[in-house]
Amino acid sequence: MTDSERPMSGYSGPTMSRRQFLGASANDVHGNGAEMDSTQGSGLNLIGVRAAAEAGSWSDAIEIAGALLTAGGVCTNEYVQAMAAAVRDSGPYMVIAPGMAMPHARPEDGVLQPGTAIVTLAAPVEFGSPANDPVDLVIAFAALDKNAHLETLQRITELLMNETALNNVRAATTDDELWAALSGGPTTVGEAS
Amino acid sequence: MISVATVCSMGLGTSQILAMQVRKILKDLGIEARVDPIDLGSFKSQPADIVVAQTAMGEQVSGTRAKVVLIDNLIDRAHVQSRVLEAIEAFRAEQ
Repeated sequence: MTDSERPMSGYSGPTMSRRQFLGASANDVHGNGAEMDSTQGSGLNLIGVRAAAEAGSWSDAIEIAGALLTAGGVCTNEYVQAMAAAVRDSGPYMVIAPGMAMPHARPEDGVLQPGTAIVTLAAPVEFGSPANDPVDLVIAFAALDKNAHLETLQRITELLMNETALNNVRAATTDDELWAALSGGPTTVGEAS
Repeated sequence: MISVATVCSMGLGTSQILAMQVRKILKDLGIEARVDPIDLGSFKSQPADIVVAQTAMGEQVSGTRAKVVLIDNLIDRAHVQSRVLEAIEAFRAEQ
């Protein structure tokens, strides 16, 4: 069991794992789960996180994020390879803001269910983006179609636009701290809509 | 109505975030526009008045009638707004 798969302690009771708490709530954003609604992590559909990961290159970073997605049953290994190919072929545009890369591939490349993995890097790596290198925050996602994941993209955008939350994400040195930073930041739901 | 295409290679990530940002900006400013996220291949066959893309896509989105807006930082709304408004003003000046 890795750090990111250990049951959550602290904020939703001892019987629910973080994966259940954060992942299963994606379809419940407009539902009755007030506790879930109050977290940013819910809409992110987070499957796994890794804080301060050691990556020697952009492809290492993709592998780390991809391993979280495959371990979470979100996609096949082929999807991870397709993410790497997409970055290699047309990659720099996926570095959407200073230090932030959002690698992904197509639904038909091996998506099993929607999901997001967030990795922070101990030392930033180059993705080949003149405007936004080097990258220390990798947000990899898998989507089933062009519309089903808009909620997730909106939450990602809100997170990235929230300076306080972003500082907490980047400051996290353990996976637990990163989970907490992604779940407990100030709520900005709706601001970017 | 002005048509705006937000473009990336797959139409899944960057283009969708750009569309959210541009829609929000134009709505707040009361500017009516049709904003569609679209993949690069589809854009080439149905260009818009204005195309918005991440800077690294600059070459791929050039060469149509659309005015090109290139964005370095998608989450910097002020940056996105100033670039998009420039293009809208230039487009309107030619009408």
